[in-house]
Amino acid sequence: MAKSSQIKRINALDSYFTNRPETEISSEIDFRLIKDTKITQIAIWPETISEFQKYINTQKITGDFLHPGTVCHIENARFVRVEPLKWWLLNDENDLFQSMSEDIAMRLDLSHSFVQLKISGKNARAILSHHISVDMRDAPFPINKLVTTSLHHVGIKLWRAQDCWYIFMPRSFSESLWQLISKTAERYGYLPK
Amino acid sequence: MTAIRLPRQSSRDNQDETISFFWNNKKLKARKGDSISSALLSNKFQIIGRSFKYHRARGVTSAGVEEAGALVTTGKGAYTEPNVRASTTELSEGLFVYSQNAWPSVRFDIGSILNLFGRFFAAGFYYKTFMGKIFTGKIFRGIPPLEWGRGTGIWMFFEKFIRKAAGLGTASRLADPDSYEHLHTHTDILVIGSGPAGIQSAIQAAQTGKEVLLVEQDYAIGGTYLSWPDKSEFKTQISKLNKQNITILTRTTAFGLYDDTTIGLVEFICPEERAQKPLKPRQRFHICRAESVILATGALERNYAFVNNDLPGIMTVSSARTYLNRYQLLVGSNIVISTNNDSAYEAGLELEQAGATVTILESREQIGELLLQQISGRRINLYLGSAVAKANHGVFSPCVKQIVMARKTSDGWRQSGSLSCDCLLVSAGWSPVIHLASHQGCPIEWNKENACFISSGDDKSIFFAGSAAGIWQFEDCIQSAPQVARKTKKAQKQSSIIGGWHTDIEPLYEICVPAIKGKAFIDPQHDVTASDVRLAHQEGFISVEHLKRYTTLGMATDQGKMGNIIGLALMADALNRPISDVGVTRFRPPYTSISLGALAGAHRQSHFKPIRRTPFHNWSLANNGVMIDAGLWHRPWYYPKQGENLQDAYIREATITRRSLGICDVSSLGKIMIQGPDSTIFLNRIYTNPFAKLAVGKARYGIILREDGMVFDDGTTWRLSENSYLMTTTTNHAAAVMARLEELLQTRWPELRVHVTSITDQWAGCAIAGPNSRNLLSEIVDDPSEISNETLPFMGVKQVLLQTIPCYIARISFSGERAFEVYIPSDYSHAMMQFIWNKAQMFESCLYGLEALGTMRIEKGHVTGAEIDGRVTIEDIGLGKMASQNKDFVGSALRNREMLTSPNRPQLVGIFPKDKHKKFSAGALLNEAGKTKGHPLGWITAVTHSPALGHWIALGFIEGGLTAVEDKHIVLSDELRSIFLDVEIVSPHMYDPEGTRLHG
Repeated sequence: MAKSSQIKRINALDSYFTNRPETEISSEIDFRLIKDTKITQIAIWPETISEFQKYINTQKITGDFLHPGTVCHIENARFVRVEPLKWWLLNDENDLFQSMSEDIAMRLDLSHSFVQLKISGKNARAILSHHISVDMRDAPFPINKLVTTSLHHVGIKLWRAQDCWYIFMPRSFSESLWQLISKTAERYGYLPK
Repeated sequence: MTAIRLPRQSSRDNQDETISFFWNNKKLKARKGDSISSALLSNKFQIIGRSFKYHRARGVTSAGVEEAGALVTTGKGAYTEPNVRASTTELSEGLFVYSQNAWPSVRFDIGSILNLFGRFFAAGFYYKTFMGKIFTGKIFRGIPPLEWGRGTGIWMFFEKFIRKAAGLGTASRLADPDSYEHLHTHTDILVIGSGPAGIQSAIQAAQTGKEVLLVEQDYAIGGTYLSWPDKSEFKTQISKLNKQNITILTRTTAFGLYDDTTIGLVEFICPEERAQKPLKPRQRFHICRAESVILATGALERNYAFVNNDLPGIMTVSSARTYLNRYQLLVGSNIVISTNNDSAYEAGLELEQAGATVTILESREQIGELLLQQISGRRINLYLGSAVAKANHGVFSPCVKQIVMARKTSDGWRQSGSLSCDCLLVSAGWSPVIHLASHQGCPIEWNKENACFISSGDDKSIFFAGSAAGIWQFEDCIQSAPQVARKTKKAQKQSSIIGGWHTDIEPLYEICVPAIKGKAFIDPQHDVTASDVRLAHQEGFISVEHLKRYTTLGMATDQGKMGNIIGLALMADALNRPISDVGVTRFRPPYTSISLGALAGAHRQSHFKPIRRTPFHNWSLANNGVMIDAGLWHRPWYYPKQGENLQDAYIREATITRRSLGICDVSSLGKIMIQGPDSTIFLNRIYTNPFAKLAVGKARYGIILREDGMVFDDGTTWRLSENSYLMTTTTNHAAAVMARLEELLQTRWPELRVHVTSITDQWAGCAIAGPNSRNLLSEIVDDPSEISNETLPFMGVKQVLLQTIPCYIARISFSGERAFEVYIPSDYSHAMMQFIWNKAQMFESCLYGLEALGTMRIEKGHVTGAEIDGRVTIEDIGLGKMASQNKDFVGSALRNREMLTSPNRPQLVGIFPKDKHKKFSAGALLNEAGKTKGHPLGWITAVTHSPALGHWIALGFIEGGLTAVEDKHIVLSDELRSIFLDVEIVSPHMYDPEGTRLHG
C-alpha cells in the first residue's frame, strides 16, 4: 500500500507555474501559486459566540478576530471572519479547533475548494483593478484586510498582506480566471511560463 | 467655403510636423495635431458626407461632439469604424477616412435624387406607407400608390431597399481584431471637462487634500482655452494643475452617470502609443466610483432653423473660432455671422483680424455699448434685427454662396435682401451639457432668461461648474469652481450666477418667411425638419416622448445635442405653451457613442463567460475525452476510440458499462455541506420525503419543491455524522439550490442552528458503474471488506481510505447498474483517477461521458433538467409517493391545488417507435392519430438510441399518463424535420424495471 507522502496534491494551476526560486521575484509583477493551502472553516451560531470568543481568547491571537475581514494571527495560522458566522483558519497545522464541541462551532475542511494565488510587484494593484471592483487604495483597503468580492462574476476572496495580495479562487474556475488575469498581466510585462 | 491654413502661432512643436492620411483613398497631408475635420478643411474638402434620408451634401458643422454633418468611416477591413465624428477624432499617420452614405462619390451621389422627392418622405412616411393601413371606405389599404400594402408584410419586402438607400456608415462584418479592457477606478472627486471651470475645480479640489481625477474627452486638455488666441491664462492654469496631485485622463468620454456616483468612462488609447506597445487595448472602459462628481462639461452652441441651414459651409461660430485658434485654419474669407447673443462678437473680431471680411446679422434690435465699441473701426458690418431666412448654394457647388436676409418687423420676419458669402456662422444660444445629471434624475429646469435647460445637480454628490451650469462669462466660470470644490466637503448651497450676457439673449429657434420655401433642419443627422415637428403636432404626437419617436428627433448618436431645444420650441409654439410646459426627455447613456467592444472588455471569445473545469478535466483530455458545455462547466461528452463518431462512442460506452464496467466524471454535481444540530429538522422541511430517521452512513434520494408545488431539484443526501449531511444537487441547479437554502435559513427559519456551505469544488466525483464495479473497488480501497454488499448496501455511504487518502464511497446509481460514487479530495483526483483507471484495465472497462450517461438514464426513466423544467409536479414525474402525507415541507400546501392534482396533467412516459428502425428527436409532439393540429397531447423531452433495447427510445410527457392513452393510436409529429411516425407509449422504466441489476 502506498504511503500518503507518495501522493502529492496537484493544484489546479500547477501546469501554469514553474518552481521558480523565491529570489526570482519581479519588482513589476510577480505571481506565485501557493501550494498545499489548508483552509478550515469554523461556523458558529449567534447564541454560541460568547463561548467561541472565550475559547479564542485562550489562544495566542493578534488582531480583532470579531471584526469582519480582519486577518489575525493565531498561533502560526491566520484567522479571519469571512461571513457573519463563519471564520477561515488558514494553514493551521495544530488543529486548533479540534476539541471544540459541535454545539459551539462546526468545522469544515475547504483546503481543496480554493486555489490561492500570491500577487506582488508594483503593478499588482493595477492588474487586479482590471477585474476586481473593490476600492484597493490604502485607506479603504489596509494591510491584513480580506474581502469577498467577484472576479469575472465568480466569488473570490482578496487578502492584502504586508507586501503582496492573495486571491482565493474556487478551484473549478481557477484556470479560467488565471487565464484572464495573466492575459491582463502581459500588458504590464508579465511573461507567462 | 474655402478654408485657408494660416502660419502657426503657438509654440507647440508638433504643429509643424506633417502627417499623411487618406480621404476616400486619396493621399493627403495635414498637420500633426489636426482633427479629421481640420485636415479635410485645410485640404479644401467641404463635402464630407451625405445625409441620412435625403442624401443632401453635408460638411463640417462644428468642432465638437455635437457634429451632425461630418460623420465619416475610419479604418479598413476589420478595423472599419463607421459614424466617427470627424470634428473630434485625432488624425493619425496613415489613417484611412471615408465618406458615408454616398454612391458613386460624395460629390456626385445618385441617392441625392431622393432630395427631389423629399416632400413625400416626411416624418411618419414609413409607418403610413409600409406598416399602417388607411380606411378607404370598405377596406383598409396602404397609401397609394402602394395600396397593396398589408401591414408588416409589405414592410418586410421594402425594408431592405430602404435600408440600402438610407442610413449612415456600414460596420464591418469581420470580427473586431482589437482588444479592450475594463478598469475599476476609484477617486474622491471626479472632474469631467478640462475647460476653465474644470481645471479650476480640479485645482481647488486637490488643494483640499482630496484625490482628484480630471477627465477630458478631447485628445488635448484645455477645452475652451484651446479656442482662444491668447494662451497665457491657460499656461498659468496648467502650471498650477501640474503642481497638484491630480490624475488626468485625456481622450476619455464620460458617457453615463449611474447610482452612487458610479461613472462610465471610455478612454481611447492614443494610436501612436498602441503602435509602440501592441498589447495596449484600443479602448479602456473605466468603471469609476467617486465620492463626488463635478460636471464641468461646458455648453454647446445652437443652430436655428432656416431654409437650407444644412449646406456645407455653415457651422457654429465657436467652431470657426476653434479652427482658427487651435488649428490655424480660417474657415472663410467672406464670412456672415448670424447670432442672437454676445458670444459671437469675440469670434467675429478674431476672424476679421485673421483676414476675413465679416458681416454680423444680429437678431436683437439693440446690443450693448461695449460690443459696439469693439467692432467699430473694424471691417465688420453689423445688421441689427436681422437673421438668415435662407442659404443658397452655387450653381455647380452644393456649398453656401449666398444668404437671404430677413428683417424683424412688428408682424414677424420679412425678406430684406441678400448677401454673398463663402461661410455662414451661426450662434443661436447655448445649451449647457447636462445629460450626466439627467441620467441620475437630477431636476432640469427651463431658464427663460438664458433660453436653455439648466440643472444644479443633486446638492449631495453631483455638482456643476462653469458654462455647464449656465454661467457664460469667463470670470464667473472660474469663480464657480471653488464653490463647487467646497461643496464636495460640506454640500453647501450653490449661489446662483447663471447667465452673464451684457445684453440679454433673445430666443431664436426658427426664421420663417412666408415667401421662402424649403427644408429647414433642426436635426441634420436624421434629416428632421421644422415641418416634421409641425406634422407631429398636427397628427397628435405632442408629448415630447412621442415627438422624439415619431420624427426621430435627437435619436441615435446625435442625442439631440443641438436640435432638441429647437424641436421643443417649435412644439411649444404650435401648442401655444411655454417650453417649460412641453418638458424634456430624460437623457439615457451614452450621450456620445461608445463602442460595444469597450463595454465587453476582455470578456469575449474564450472569456465571454468563466469556464468551470472538473478536477478530472486535464486527465479526461489526456484520455481522449471530448468536452461539452453544461452550463458553465466543461464536462466529458464522450471518449472516442480511433475512427469513432459520437454515436459509435456512446453506444460502445453504454454497452461496456452495462456489460462490465464504466467510469464517469460526475464532479460537476452540486455538493452542499449541511452542518449543525438542527440539520435533520432542516432537511425534513426541505425534502418532500422523510429525512428524520436517515441513519448515519446512509444516503437517500430526495425531491425539493418550490413553494408553488412544482419540482425544483432532486439529488441524494448522505448522512456523514450526527450533525453533518452532504447534499448533492443537479449540476445546473447547484447555485440556485444553495441560494434557496441560505434564504430559507436566513429569512424563514433563523432559529435553526444550521450552516450550509458549497463544497462542490472540494471533492472530485467519479461514478464506477457496471457488474464489475465492486470488483474494481476491491482493488483500489485500502480495506476491501468495507465495500462488501453487507457493509456497503444499496444507498450506503462510507468513508474509506484510497491510497491512504480519506475518500467517500456511496453506493448509488444513476445508470441503473450496480454502481458506486467515489468522492476524492480534488487535489488528489488526478493521481487517484490514474490509479483507478490502471486497476480498471483488469476488467473489460471504459470511460463514459455525458452522452452515454444520458442514454442509460433514459433507459431507466431517471429524470434530469430536461424533464424537471419548472413546469412539472412530483406526481407528473411519477414520484408522487415520495411526497410525505405526515409532515409539512416546502411546497406541501400549494402542491394540492386543483390544477396540480388533476389526473389529466401530462405525466412522464416512455416512448417506443412502432417501427423499431425509425429515429426521431427531442421536441417532437405527441398527438392522437388524425388530430395532429392544435394543442398536442404531449411532447418528447429526451431521445436516445438504446444499446440495451436495440432501437430509439424516448422520455416525454403525455396527458393522463400511460393509462390514459393505452387504447389510443398515438403519433409523433416533428414538423420542423418532417418526421411523422406511429409510437407506442410505455412505462418510463424501459430497462430493468425491477431493478435487479441495481441491487445485484
